[in-house]
Amino acid sequence: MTPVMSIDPKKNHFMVEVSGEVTCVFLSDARILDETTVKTIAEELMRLVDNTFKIKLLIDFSNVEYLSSAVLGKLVAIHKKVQEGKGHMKLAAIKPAIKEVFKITKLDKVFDICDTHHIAMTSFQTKRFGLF
Amino acid sequence: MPLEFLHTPEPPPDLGKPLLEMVLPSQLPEKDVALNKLLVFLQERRFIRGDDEEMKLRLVLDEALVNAIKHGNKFSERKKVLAGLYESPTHWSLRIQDEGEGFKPSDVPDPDDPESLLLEHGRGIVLMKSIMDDVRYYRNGSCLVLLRKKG
Repeated sequence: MTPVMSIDPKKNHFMVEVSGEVTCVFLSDARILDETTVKTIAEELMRLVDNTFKIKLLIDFSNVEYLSSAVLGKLVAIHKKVQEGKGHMKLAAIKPAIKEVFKITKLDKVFDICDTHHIAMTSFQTKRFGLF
Repeated sequence: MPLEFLHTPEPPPDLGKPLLEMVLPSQLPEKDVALNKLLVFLQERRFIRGDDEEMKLRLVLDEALVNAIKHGNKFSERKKVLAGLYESPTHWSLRIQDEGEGFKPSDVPDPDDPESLLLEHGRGIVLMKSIMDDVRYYRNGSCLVLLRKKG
């Protein structure tokens, strides 16, 4: 993967790497809990989605150990925004306990969840979007 | 099928021996301090074990405290949240009480309704029910009791 852009938003809550057509967001906090952090991350991600037409967004959770349910709500909001912009979002490398939370809340049926970053990247590169 | 849980105007029953009781102002930063105290206590008593358990309990307790501060007391400086941990011979329980008016069970989204999946809120009770052994609302919803079997 060759990063061509790297952004460190406030307090480095995540890092962005653009690899080909895919925008990869690496969440850096092990614990995404307090409302201010959740709000900051969501706002930054919303801006990213707004600024990228037909975004192919990969959110990498490999560093995340804990999250609050407010994060789930924000992910739904980002997912809707991505869909409005005719883009596609994948979540990758989610720890088993967090994956279970997605399952309990049935969000595993809403989000496209890949086991690893590599699988998510590969599926982005092989999947065709639309008719052309 | 809508979520099923006890919701009554009655006050909560005696939950057993009080282990830890706190009075919190209705501010979110205070919630994190209380949450950490509760989790340390639960770990010390071996009511929860391991990182996965802690993660799930943190999620549930966070949800309960945020609901009380945000939806119950609406961040009012005049209103407090009472958080208590209790032990009976068979269970440990957490009681979170706010000074709000409670809620109507009909306002809780039905988790089986496909439209609920795309709501940004309304997953708290689903999570609590799945992670705890029982979820009960007293005083019309302003007093939440979460129960977990010991052992």
